[in-house]
Amino acid sequence: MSSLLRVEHLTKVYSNGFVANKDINFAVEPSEIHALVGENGAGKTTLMRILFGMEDFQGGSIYIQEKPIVPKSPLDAIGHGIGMIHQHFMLVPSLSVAENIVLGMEPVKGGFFDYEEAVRATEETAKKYRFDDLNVRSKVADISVGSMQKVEILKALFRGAKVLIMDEPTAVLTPQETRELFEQLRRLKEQGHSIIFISHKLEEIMELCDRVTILRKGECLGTYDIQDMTQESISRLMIGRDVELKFARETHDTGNDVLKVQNLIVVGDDGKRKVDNVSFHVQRGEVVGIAGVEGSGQSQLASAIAGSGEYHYGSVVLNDLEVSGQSVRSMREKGMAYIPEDRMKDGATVNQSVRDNIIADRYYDPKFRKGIFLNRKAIDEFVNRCIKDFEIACDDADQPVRMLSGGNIQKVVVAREFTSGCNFILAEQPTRGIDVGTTEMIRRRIISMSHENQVGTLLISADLNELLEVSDRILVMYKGKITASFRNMEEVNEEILGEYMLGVKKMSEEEMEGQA
Amino acid sequence: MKNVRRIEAIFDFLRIVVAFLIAYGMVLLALVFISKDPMQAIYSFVAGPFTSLRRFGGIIQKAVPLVFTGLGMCFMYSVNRFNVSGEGIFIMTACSTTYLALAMEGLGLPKFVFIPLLLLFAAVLGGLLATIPATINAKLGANIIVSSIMLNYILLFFTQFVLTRLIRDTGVSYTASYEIPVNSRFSEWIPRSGIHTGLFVALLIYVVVVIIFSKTKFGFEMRTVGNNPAFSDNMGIKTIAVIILAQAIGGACAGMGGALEQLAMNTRFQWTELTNHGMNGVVVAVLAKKKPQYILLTAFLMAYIRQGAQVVSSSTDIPAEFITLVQGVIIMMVAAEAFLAHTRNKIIYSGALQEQKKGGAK
Repeated sequence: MSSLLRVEHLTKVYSNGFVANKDINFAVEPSEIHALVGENGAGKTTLMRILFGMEDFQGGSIYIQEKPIVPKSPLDAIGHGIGMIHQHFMLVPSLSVAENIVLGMEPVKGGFFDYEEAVRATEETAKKYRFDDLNVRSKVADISVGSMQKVEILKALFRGAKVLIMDEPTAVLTPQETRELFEQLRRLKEQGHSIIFISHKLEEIMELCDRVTILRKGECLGTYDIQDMTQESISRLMIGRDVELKFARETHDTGNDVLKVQNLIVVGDDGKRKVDNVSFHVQRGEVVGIAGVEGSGQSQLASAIAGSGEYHYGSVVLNDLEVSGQSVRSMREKGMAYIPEDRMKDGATVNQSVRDNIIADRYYDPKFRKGIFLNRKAIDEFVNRCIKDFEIACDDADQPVRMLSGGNIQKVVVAREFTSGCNFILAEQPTRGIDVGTTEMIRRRIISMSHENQVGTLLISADLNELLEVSDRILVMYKGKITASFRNMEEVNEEILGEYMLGVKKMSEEEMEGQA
Repeated sequence: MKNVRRIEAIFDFLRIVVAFLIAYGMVLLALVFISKDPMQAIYSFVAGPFTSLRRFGGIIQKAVPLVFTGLGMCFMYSVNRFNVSGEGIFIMTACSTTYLALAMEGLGLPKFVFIPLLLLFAAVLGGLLATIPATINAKLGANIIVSSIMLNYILLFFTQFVLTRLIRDTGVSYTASYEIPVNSRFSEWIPRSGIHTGLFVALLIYVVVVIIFSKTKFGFEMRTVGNNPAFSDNMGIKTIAVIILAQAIGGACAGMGGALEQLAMNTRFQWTELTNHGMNGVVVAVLAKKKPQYILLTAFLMAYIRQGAQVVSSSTDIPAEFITLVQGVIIMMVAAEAFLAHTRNKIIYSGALQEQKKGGAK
């Protein structure tokens, strides 16, 4: 049987000298859902970008139905039948679904755009692939995230894609939406399409995929039938050692409130309430998780607490002090640590060295100074200890952070925040897009910080698994409000959280009181 | 990947050198075409600056103010603000130092008190002036290029007001101030070379600036703020304060340079238009990759080329203005990030692949 897509001896070197792919070989058969797994920096995304014509490559060849091709641009790749569904959707929100689908190949009548024809063509394609509940006339801005993803898939199919590359498609979806997506993908498979499915979530891969190709440090370890694999055996191959993602839950003492949020309201630029009358507290020694569909007000809540955003009503009290009006420095000195969502922009300064990044919040400490000068020796001693303790893979403290992989950049951030002597950690998506090994380390550190050092943690995460593993208590946010609170982790699972996240269910005040 | 860092560093340096060589070659080519006696012109341009002590001294004379304005621009660049008010500050402090020196003539201060006092005054004035566009930009978001250039003209016209109305010596036939007091003038260091003792002030300031950048808390803050303001906000650095203060220090450098140029090179203040010292400071800073430690070298190179042009124009039929051609080419070459990037990437690729073959790569 001839392969639909085959890659032979593919090698890619980035201009910073990083060899992202070394001699990669793999093949995708017709009607197959093919998983591609690997830690961050293993080269998955690079490989996909090459296939989709977004990166060049230095060696090897790519075949579509045994014909050699060199994708020069995404347009070229689409021409060869390769479609890609990006993690961040590439849609025009102000246009309708149909307009987005035909964008770039619009039907024309008498020199003008023929909207009705666009609608007809879109509906026809939607019907063919059984995207049943999609209203092609509605604006993209008004539809749900799950539907946007359908539009993306449809867009690729409309352009004649035979192979669909999906980069972490479930990261933004609720469990219910994920299930729906999987059914859709299985139907596509039956119709002869193939899908390359990139994910960090091994249980999804076990459920959905036929075969799996494993990458580690840019090298291909081989392709395996899913039937022969378990989650454990895949992750062992990915990381090269055993990982424990389940942590032993132990009872422990909690102390006074370290964070108290009362009747907090944050109004967005559009005049809508992004955070709507939210009250909760975090005690020392406990991890409070916040679940919610993206855009439910979590990031506004985080910036209100971190002091970088503003809030309009209510109060945020951290370490017995009202946050509003305090400088970030004084909040940090009183014990706040913050792992921001966007590590490349807010969490690290990527053009500077590992050293600069680690001392950025404490360079002025007398410990690191000698008179008016910085004490290079003391700084290096400290930084090198951090590099060792947090297993940051870098040449030395002088290396610019931009040369590190995503997981290692996050390790730099974590090394700084977790050594600042904090009593409260605000962690926003601390393991998003990060390899399993680093994820394990970060989760373990959060737990040990709270249990051993009596640190209070507010964990905002889209990864429900992470919330369930790490948190002592989970709050659910929906449209800016807290709609559920769970204290007993035995009683919740992803399904239950999903129902509250989507607003299907809502707890009353009393129910939440009972939990809190 | 240590290798990569080395290759990147080598190419950064190579880019400056090659840019210089290409610019140089183009000038030589131009000389061949426009001069009746090209050999003489080329000789004057290349070797002319070294043919006499006075000509060599001319290089140093020209380099000193460029060190000040170049260092000043390093501060502007370090916080990522293209504040070019150094140009106006330079003439402004030259003028107001003259005014102050004349006003304090009667006090009869000794040189070693009087000159530092005047330089200090110029630095403070320069610092304050640079904060005007800096503050407007930081607080109101006005485009700093526009506001700093506007400021340059305001300062120029202000100096003309001071010159013609307050300090003009009506006893001379041209527009000039009274002669500045003898006890405020820098003296010649090496006799008949034109090299004045202001050189030492420039070297001192250079060392201080390099130390500020590499060894102090403020240097760290500037670097971080310039690279990533959102990050430094998050780290509790007072981003806006750092941005404004850095530009103030940059202005102080330019200001001191203006005063020193006046006290060392001229007996009267007689500039009636902008002197281009500030703008040449931009070139010097860009050539130095915005790093103060290279300023001494690039200021010298710039001064050498300008001195060469001067020798050419005085000894051949070529006008001195052709020097702008050289400058244009150099800036273009150095500023073009992609220049030589292809070769660099190829070397990095093959290096990485080779290392991988050896099996030693990560």
